[in-house]
Amino acid sequence: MMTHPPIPDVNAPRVAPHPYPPHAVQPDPESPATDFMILPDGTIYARNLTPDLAAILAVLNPYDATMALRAATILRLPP
Amino acid sequence: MTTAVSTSLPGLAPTRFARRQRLVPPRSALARERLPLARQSLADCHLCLHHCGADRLAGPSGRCHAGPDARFFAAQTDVSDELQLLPSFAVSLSGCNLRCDFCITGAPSWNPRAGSELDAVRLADRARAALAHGARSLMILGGEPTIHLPGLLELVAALPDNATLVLKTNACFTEAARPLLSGLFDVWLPDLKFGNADCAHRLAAIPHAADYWTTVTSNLLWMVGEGDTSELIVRHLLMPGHVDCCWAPAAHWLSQHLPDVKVSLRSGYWPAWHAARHPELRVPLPRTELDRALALAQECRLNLVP
Repeated sequence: MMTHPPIPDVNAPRVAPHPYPPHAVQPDPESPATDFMILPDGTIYARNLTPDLAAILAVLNPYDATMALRAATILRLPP
Repeated sequence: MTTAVSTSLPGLAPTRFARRQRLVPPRSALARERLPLARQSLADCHLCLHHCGADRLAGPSGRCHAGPDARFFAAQTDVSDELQLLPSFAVSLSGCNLRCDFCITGAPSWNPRAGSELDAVRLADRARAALAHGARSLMILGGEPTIHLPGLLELVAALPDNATLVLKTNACFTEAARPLLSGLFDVWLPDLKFGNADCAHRLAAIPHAADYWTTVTSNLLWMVGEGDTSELIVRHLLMPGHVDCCWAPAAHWLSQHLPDVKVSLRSGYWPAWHAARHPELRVPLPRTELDRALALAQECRLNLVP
């Protein structure tokens, strides 16, 4: 017997799920694109993160060890 | 400030996977050989758990609304995925057989006509360039790539044989698809999305009769049986309100049946697309739920990878 999922935490950061895709306009499949969602508490969510943007996020939050590792991959790419 | 791409599991170093032993003939030749059978399978499509029996050669049909030709909506170097695979040059095929209301790429994933025509040779050239510039792997994903078996095989046939090739899939394909996929990938990256048929039905419109759980778990066991030539990393996206009903059954099953397999617990749930249809999915994952999920993973002694 499944129980219904709990009611959302009223104190959680609020977001308004958009009925549309993250991109307002369909991106060109040939061009890199990243989507961000920034919450009021400063949490940043990212999708399709490129190495360059990982490097920026790693600078914004130097305590995020995982992001630092993602950003480090850029070092293997040419300038 | 916190950043949440997918998972933050401090202390877990990235691991390298063993390069697969190459099959003879090479996978490009295998993929090319299988193309006629893959095209033929679309005439009476039973490639996924929906078993539509649609004639997709005649045009878009079936629950995925996909026709015979694949399209793609993204192709780029990406560092969002499991660390051991990064950077990865990822090609996203349009269209999917599931209708997950929380899909982060809902529009192109639900629409097989989105994006551009799949030009395998051109994409392979871009993949080679990415590899030359330091990409560690090539990844094919969706949408759901296994609904486009002919296009998927064309792409595999064009890609370099010595590259690490990853297939990211919802693992909802049937036994009919397995012989066409076998031996082609260095890393299987399946997503065990739901822990029960009720959530699969409510959130992704998978009929109970389709038997989501049995289909996916049997495919995971099949994938691990491919281990001579590939590696398995099982993913689970933590969704708010679904730790007990979805993650817990998944964690216990993995603990019992695939105790050593790598598990990627994704914590970057992002309310998007039609998530608002479900009250519990309107918020990001609360920290308390992530902590509970990680504790459960530890209790089950799962081999978590970042």
